[in-house]
Amino acid sequence: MTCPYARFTERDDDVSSATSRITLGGTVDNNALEEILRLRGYGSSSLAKPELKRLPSSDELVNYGNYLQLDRILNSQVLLSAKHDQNKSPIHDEHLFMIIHQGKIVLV
Amino acid sequence: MTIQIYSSSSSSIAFELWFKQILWEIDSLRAVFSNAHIDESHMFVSINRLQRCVQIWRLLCDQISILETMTPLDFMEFRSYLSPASGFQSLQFRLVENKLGLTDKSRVVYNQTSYKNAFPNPHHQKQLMDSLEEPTLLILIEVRKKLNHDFN
Repeated sequence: MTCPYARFTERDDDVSSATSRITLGGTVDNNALEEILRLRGYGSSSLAKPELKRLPSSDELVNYGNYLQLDRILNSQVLLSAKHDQNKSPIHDEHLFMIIHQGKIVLV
Repeated sequence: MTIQIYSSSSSSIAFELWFKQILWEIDSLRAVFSNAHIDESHMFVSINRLQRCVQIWRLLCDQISILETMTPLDFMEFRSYLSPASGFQSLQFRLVENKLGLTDKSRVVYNQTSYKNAFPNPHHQKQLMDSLEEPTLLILIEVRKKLNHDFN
């Protein structure tokens, strides 16, 4: 399944059917999923609240940023075109060059 | 729905890297369109950079299909370890939305609270507020269109 929003830009006549396709190929029974979510403490009808987890390395609550270590990854774009000549602004496309290569490392 | 799906994935890091690139492009475009005078060469650069953003977005959408090889049940095996983390806490995603020109008025409130409450870090809060106060790409282009119209 492709992204429903990408589909939206190409063919705008089937928004509603794109929404219905979000159900992951129809292989998952929604009732079963709902039940599992409820039992695990998720979902609207859940009684139990999921336990809040902390990072093993510190006492911080887990969040999107510290789980993925985004502060490290998103501060790793040091453009040499700006470094070598302090008076000059960075060459715009060096950023793309760097992100593409860093992205490859992430995916490998 | 889409946001919740991708946030469950280790591919979120790749998403965040590309969001950073998109923000880089949007910021440069906002700088271009803030100029009093825009010449032809600026237009070529602008279109080129916008198309780059579109290509990146396509790539990210296609990546969802890899994520879909993980079933919801597979995800539930480790989801509890990540609570209370959520893709809802992606700052860059909100920055992309705001800098393009999405307004609070057109947002759907989730869980009866503003998305801004997902960012307690003061530095993140500042970035978020700046993205709302600075002229958005949409506004800059609308102003430009109006100027051109009045001039003609």
